[in-house]
Amino acid sequence: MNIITANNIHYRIKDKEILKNLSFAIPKGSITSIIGMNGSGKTTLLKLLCGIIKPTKGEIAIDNKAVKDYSIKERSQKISIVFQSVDTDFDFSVEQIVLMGRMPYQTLLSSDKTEDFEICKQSMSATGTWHLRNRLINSLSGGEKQRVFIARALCSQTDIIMLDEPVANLDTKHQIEIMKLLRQIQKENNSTILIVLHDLSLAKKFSDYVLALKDGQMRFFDKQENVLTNENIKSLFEINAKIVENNNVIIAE
Amino acid sequence: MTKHKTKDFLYYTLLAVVVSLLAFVGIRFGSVDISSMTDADKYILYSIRIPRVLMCIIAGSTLAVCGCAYQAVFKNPLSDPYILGVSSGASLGASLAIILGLDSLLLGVTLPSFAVALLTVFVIMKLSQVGSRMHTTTLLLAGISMNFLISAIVSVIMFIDKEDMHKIYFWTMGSLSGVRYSDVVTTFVFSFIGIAFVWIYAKRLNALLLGDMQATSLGIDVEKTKKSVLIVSTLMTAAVVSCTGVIGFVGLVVPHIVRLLVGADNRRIIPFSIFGGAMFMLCADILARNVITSSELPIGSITSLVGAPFFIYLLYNAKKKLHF
Repeated sequence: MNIITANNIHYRIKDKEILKNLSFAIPKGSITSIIGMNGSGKTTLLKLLCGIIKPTKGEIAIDNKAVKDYSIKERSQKISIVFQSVDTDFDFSVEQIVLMGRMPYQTLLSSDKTEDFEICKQSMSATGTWHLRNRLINSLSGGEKQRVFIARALCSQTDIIMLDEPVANLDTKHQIEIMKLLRQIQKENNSTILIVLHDLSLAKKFSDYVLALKDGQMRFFDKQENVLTNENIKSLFEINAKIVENNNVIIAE
Repeated sequence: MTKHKTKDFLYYTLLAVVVSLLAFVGIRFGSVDISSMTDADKYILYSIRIPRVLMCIIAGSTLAVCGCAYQAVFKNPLSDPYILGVSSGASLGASLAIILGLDSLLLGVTLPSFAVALLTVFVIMKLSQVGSRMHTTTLLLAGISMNFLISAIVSVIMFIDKEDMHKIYFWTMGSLSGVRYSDVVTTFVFSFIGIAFVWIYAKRLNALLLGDMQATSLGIDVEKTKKSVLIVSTLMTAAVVSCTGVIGFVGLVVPHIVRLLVGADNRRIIPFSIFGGAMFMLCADILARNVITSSELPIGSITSLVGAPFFIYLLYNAKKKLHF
């Protein structure tokens, strides 16, 4: 069963076509990596899928309902987003940040209820951030911060989690930890996860599906083993690559 | 938040006591000793000092909450109605109302103040926006530029209309002398509604501080929230400035100190800033009236004497981020 469907979507800024004629369907409960070179339109696609920007042409549907027909609040109850990094001059505690994940379910006048604190605690425990709850967000390392924002996404209890380069600024150990955490979340909650990734090894190891973009066009969308082949990588990134199947590692030659 | 509620209620009670004590000092002490309670003393007490102290409390609280709101909307801890030129815009509106003879009408000064202050905010937003972000450097430069421009226009108005020069001069320096009960009531109505509105939006303002896309992903209509809060805060600033003139830095100093004490959550910063703003203004007013026995210093100069070094200190701390 598909949870996200895109039908012939285009996105244009002034005269520049950023995305051209994209059509695909993301199966529910899967991890899909969006790959491609810089400027290929990965982040733009993610923003379109979560409704932050609107396509110039075409339609995106979530659970068979057009994204444009969702209110901002309804959309935030369906999709949570983790950005590459969050810079703020204002020092919130980790618990305050994660609790914000309950905002899609609250009205202007409602305050945090016991149930919200419970869900917040569960999300933090699941992501290993409970011990950081009283720390200030700006005092955390990059890896800890990403875990906190993933905890916030969990706290929103959405079916879909979208992540824009969540491991871009992390070392290899923390990259693997974050990706393992996402796989664990997907398995436990049957979440649908979309990740913009640069690291093809991580995409191969942790994705079920891969959507590959080049120059704003979708070149491939299929199971990861069908997309991440030597020939496809060469055509996408203009490099020679060798896939070591046992370890799922891709090495540029 | 819940765990803080009981504790905060105790702090609010304590702060209310401190505000009351400062208000008593403000009423009791001044250039004239009113302890003998003659008819003249009673007149000074009821017609001058009590409305003045009440205005102090309302103006201080309002400007402090406006500072919180501006800082959240602009995502910048250095934003405040004075630094961004909004207060100057309001004073220009007031000056224009005076030379056009509108000051005798109900809200005849408040509404033009609001209109010009809102226009100032709009210009600053347009000038400082780079893509979807408003950078600190451009925001401050836009504020400074608007302050220069508005000061120049006010100077020209004062030069042209010498008859009303003293009235206009009052708006540029900030003063609580001559405050009437009608001013207190008008400002209180605007401030009460405005502060309640901003406080209701406090949680959304928290999300805004993490960025527009973060806030959108949490189900917030960012543009609508920003516009509503900015319009209400500007209206509150204009309501205060149209009665007291430009009183600077309250919106910068108070929320900043409160934030250091209670953290970044606007649901706590706003109520604490209400008390903090009132205390800051009452202290400034007591100093303004008692430092020099023969005359009264403009309250705006006292708040600036405290606020400007504080602003320099904040800039010094932020210089790495500002790439100075």
